[in-house]
Amino acid sequence: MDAEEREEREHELCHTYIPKLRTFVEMNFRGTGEDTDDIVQAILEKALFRINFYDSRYSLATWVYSIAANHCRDLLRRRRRRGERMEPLENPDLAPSQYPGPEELSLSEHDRTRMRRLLEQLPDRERQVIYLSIYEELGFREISRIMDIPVGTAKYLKHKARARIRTMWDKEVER
Amino acid sequence: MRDLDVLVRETIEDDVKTNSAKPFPHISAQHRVPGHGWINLGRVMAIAGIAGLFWISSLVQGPHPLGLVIEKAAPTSTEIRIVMEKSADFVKIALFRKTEF
Repeated sequence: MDAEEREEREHELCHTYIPKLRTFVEMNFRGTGEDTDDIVQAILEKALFRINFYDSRYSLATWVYSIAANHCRDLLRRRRRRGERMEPLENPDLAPSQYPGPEELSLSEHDRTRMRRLLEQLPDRERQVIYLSIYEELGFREISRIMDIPVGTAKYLKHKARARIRTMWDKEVER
Repeated sequence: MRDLDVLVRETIEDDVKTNSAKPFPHISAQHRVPGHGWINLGRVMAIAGIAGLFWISSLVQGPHPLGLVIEKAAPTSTEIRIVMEKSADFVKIALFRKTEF
């Protein structure tokens, strides 16, 4: 990697990826017991110090999220080894159906609030696949690399997550 | 349900947008010294232990790959000066946070 390319990558890491990593960590790794920004900083430090090892055959997103997921998994493992209790995910009461039905679905704040709640209720691995697949638009091969799971499992988790979201959404609408 | 993927994407984009608006990292203004800062090695030692010193020492040796210029304030000083390039703001802040300067 030449100096110009390295600088470009560093800039992208420190600007584009800070809010994305915050969201990724907040959404998917709440149980670490550490401040999100401390985690993001540690991830970026690792990424910046290893920038020369970045293989441009893969997307920067795959590389960064791999570092992030590994770091967070380590934190979770360490916490488990110490025998600390993991923070349970919030289980917010679902609001009574006061939102438009699916046929009237619009990208309103209400819909996003409801979707946020449903995403929170997904199992961790399903939520991670949804984030990487739908938001980052990564392929299953890249997702399997980041999450350290087989490609088939990544596909299965996405299928499962979408079905689960759909079911939860419909249940809310029926209320 | 229609447009599930679109709604999921919009929801996450919304969260990323909210996170973009927050300053990073959330340290007090006095730590944001433009261009340079000082780290007391004794303080590093007290907070991060010997590992912290090794970490700083590894940065002190030679030109840093991230464009940092790190020098001792004086040969016998326990303070080192860290001069950052504008593009390396993040690292400057990272160093400060790392040592709770």
